Amino acid sequence: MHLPDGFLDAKTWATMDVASAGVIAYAVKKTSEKFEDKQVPVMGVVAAFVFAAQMLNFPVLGGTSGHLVGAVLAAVLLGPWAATLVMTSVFIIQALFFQDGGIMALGANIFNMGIIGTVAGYYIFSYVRSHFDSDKGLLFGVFVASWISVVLAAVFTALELAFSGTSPTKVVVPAMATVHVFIGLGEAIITTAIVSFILKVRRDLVYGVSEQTKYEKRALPVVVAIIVMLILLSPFASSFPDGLEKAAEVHSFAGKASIVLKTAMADYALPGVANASLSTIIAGAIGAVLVFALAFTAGRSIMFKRKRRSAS
Amino acid sequence: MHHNYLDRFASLGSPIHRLDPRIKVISLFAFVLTVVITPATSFYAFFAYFCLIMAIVFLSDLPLSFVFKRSLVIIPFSLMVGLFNLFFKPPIVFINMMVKSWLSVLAIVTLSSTTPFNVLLSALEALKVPHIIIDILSFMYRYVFTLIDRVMKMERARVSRSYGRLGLKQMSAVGNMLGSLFINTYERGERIYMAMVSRGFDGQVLGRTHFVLTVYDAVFLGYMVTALLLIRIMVVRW
Repeated sequence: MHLPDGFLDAKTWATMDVASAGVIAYAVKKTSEKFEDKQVPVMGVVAAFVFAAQMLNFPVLGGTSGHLVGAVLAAVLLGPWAATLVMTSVFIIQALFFQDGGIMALGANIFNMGIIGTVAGYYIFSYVRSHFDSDKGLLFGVFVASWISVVLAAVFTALELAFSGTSPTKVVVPAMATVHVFIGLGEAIITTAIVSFILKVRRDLVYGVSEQTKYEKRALPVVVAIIVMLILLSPFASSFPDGLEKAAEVHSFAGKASIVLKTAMADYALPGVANASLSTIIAGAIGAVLVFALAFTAGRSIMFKRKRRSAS
Repeated sequence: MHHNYLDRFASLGSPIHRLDPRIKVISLFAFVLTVVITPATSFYAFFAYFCLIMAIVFLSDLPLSFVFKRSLVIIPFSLMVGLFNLFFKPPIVFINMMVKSWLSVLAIVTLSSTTPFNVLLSALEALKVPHIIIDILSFMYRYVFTLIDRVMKMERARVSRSYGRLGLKQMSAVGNMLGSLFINTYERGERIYMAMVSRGFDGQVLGRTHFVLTVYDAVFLGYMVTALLLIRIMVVRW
């Protein structure tokens, strides 16, 4: 999911660079405020750990494979701001030395896979956590947060591609979201398993586990607002003037073969709703709810199964 | 185990290696920025960018096969996204994505394989990257290879014990594996910190390189900027 240079247009990558730089500056301020200088070596080693853990592939449905992103994991262990810096470092190394993601697109990549997981993911985790007293509730929060963070990352990536005029909104957003609903389950299962192990062996390493008050209850409106905003944005992305397509028409490059496919896949819409963009929104929302319900029950059943087995 | 060592050719002595790393970083940004904002249909411009970066690669004594091999790493991913788009967008969009991403990667590979890692970090710090991030990066670099080794060994052990299966049950084994590695790593971080404190560490990492700009550096930067501007203005119009 690392975006290379050239996939986004100037307005999109510039916006994402500014957004990420702002959050990183805030994270730098936050971490140096309550500074334990101890955190620097530890954060460095944890960054190396996240990088190494990303080398492991796990299979997703149908032969594709995904790997851990680790943003929510880092946030649950180090807190949102230190985790933001850790993930930023991981993406910088990947862009400079492993050709994973571009330089101008660095802000977009840090935002999609880092900040969404470390900040939004952390607050989702806190919110779910604040409703339970048990470790099971904590793990459930980890599960939900890491799943949502992967799906959100995919939707953001897709929207950025759509705003850049690189990919058609109506296809890329649902396609990316659907695929990552499953990849996200892998992330969620592994992250939950890792945190549950750490809870057993060194509870104190889980961020804020001893201080109940630290967990936020106010985060839900923020998260809901983000999701609603995304759903509302998606029809707009396609109506932006598309510079590339115009250039192509002028130079009569327009592909003829593509038109057939275009009509075959164009309509992600509900029958009976007249307004095209409205029906896209409704279809998207229904899909999101269904998928969340599915993941929710899957997560619960896995957790209870493991509990039963360890009890017997 | 075998690693793709990050800066295998970084200690050669070519004119490009001797450049001030700050100039190299700035040139990289200028190059990628110009490439990315060039209109999709100006093929001559893209060819000129290619010649420009190739000239630098030749000056740098890097083996051509190495540069190409490293830059081809991104092709499968670009191709996947690009081919997907080919169904919905005119082919120019696809060509544009492939060309721009490849040119940018060529430039990144050239920078990262002509600059030792610690020097590059000092340059980034001189260019005002927050130094907490620089410190994290330098610790990360120091430990990332041993950690990758351990992950790979653990994974090999797991695969040979489970006949390569990776279902739900094995996923929780992977979780335990990474969990124990994390605790190990974290404790190592704490030990490193204590060792550093006992040697007088007070939160300041010292010993960064200081750079002095020479005429040669200024000439190189001038050459880069002029070349990029010329290509951008002349060739695009034409």
